[in-house]
Order: sequence, then C-alpha cells, then structure tokens
Amino acid sequence: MSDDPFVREDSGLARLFAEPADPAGGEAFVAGVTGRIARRRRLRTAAPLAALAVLLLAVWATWPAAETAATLSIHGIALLGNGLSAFFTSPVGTTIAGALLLPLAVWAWATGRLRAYFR
Amino acid sequence: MSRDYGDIAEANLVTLAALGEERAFAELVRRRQGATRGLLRRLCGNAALADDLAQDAFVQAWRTLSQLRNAAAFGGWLKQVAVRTWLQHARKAKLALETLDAADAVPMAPAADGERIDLDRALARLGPAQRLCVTLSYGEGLSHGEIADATGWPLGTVKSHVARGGARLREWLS
Repeated sequence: MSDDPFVREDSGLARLFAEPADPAGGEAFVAGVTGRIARRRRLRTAAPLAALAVLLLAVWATWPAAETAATLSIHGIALLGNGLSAFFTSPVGTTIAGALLLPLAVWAWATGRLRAYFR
Repeated sequence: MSRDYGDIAEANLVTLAALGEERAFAELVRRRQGATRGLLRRLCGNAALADDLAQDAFVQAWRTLSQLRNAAAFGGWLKQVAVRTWLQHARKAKLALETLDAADAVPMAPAADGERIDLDRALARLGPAQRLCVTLSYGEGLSHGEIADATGWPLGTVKSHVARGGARLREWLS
C-alpha cells in the first residue's frame, strides 16, 4: 500500500479510484492480443524467407556482375576463414573462444533471452 | 478458445504460458485485461488509445514472460510492463514527463464555480507525470518505491508528484 500519509488518511480519493471501471469487449480484446501475437510470429517466419527471395532476385538481375562479386567475396571469406581457423585451433584461441561463448550461451538461456527471441 | 484453462490457478497459467502455451496466455489476458485496460485508460484518458497500448503491453508480456522468475508475481510484473508501455508512448508523443515543472506546465482550465468534476476528468487535467504517479499510488496501491522502480524516476520526484497531484485532485473533487 502507498506510504504517503495523505493516501492512508484520505480514504475518499482511494474509494473513488477503487470504483470498478471494467471495460466492455473483453473477448474482442483477447482476440486482438492473440491476433497480434500470431501476426508477429508470421512476420518472424516470413522475414528471412523474404530477405532470401530479394537476395536471389538481386543476384538474378545483376548476373554476371553478381558472380564476380560473389567469387571475390568467397575468396575473401576463405582467406579470413583460414586465418580464423589457425587461430581457433591453437590452444589459446580455443580457450578464448570457450571463455567467451560458454558464459554467453548460459546467460542467454538462463535469462530466457534465447527463447524470447524466437517467441 | 481457452475455456479449458478457466479453473487453473494463475501461477500455473503463467508457467504454462512461459513454456509457450498460447491458450494459457489467452486465459491470462482474459483475467487481467480489465485491470490493465482500466489502468491505461486512466493514464491516457482515451479509451481507444488505452486499448491499443494494453494490447501492446500484453504482446510485450508474451515476448518476455520467460524472464519472469516468480510466477506468483505476474500481476505486479504485468502492471510494470503496462506502465513502461505507456511511458514509451508518452516519450514518443513528447509528453512532458521528466520534471515537476514540465508536469505543472500542462494548461488547465479552471473549473467553473460550483462545478463538480468526476475523477477521470480531474485526472485528465493533471500533467502526465503526476497522473501516472497518483494513479499508481491511489488506484493501484503501489508504494513510492515501487512507483520509482516502475518508472525509473528518483524517489523524491515520485513523492512530489504524488503529493502535488493528490492535493490537486482533493481540491478539484471536494
């Protein structure tokens, strides 16, 4: 209960606030909430597919320039991957990766953030 | 839709909903929608906007329910979610929230002699910050500390809003 002495003493105001204000249309409201949740889930499912479709469309539209860009990118990624793999197969790299990733995964799971992302 | 869950205790519904059971959450919405919409209607003074914000608050609650540690505390937690939703709306709408002066600066037409005004009209004449603090204190029975936690405002600011807002309401409603 409130710790304002006025609040405790002034029962008139508290009584006014306590008057029931039950809004009508409860079932419609519930349907509105479940509808919003369903729309949100559909959007989360559809968004990656839409992004993939846009990417494929962009590749098709800009071929063969897209092929050159992709080849260069993949070559760059391969070089980066070689460097990273050398790092992470070393004892120091493995230890650092474990020290970073394990607490992160435990924290995300324990706080419910991992599940919340996919809801 | 969720009639099967009508007899289940709220804490159990919260646990089920946190595991992803949508019908359990729909039953929670059914049970709590009156209080949540009532709170937001007092804060907004606009039924349509309040219902829209209340739906946002429930969607936000669904999204973050798995972070709630104590299922028995669902009611208070939901109230906090609703208050945060309203505060986000108020900031987007650039309502004066942060300072006492800004809250006091909201224009208020004086009541005509002998005019009696009801609680909702009186609340609408308060500044947004005072309205929030007074509603949470008198209407929801929250302590000043709990209001400070819900709003993120300093305790002294909350006390001032409750005292000044309460005094004004008493004056207008007497």
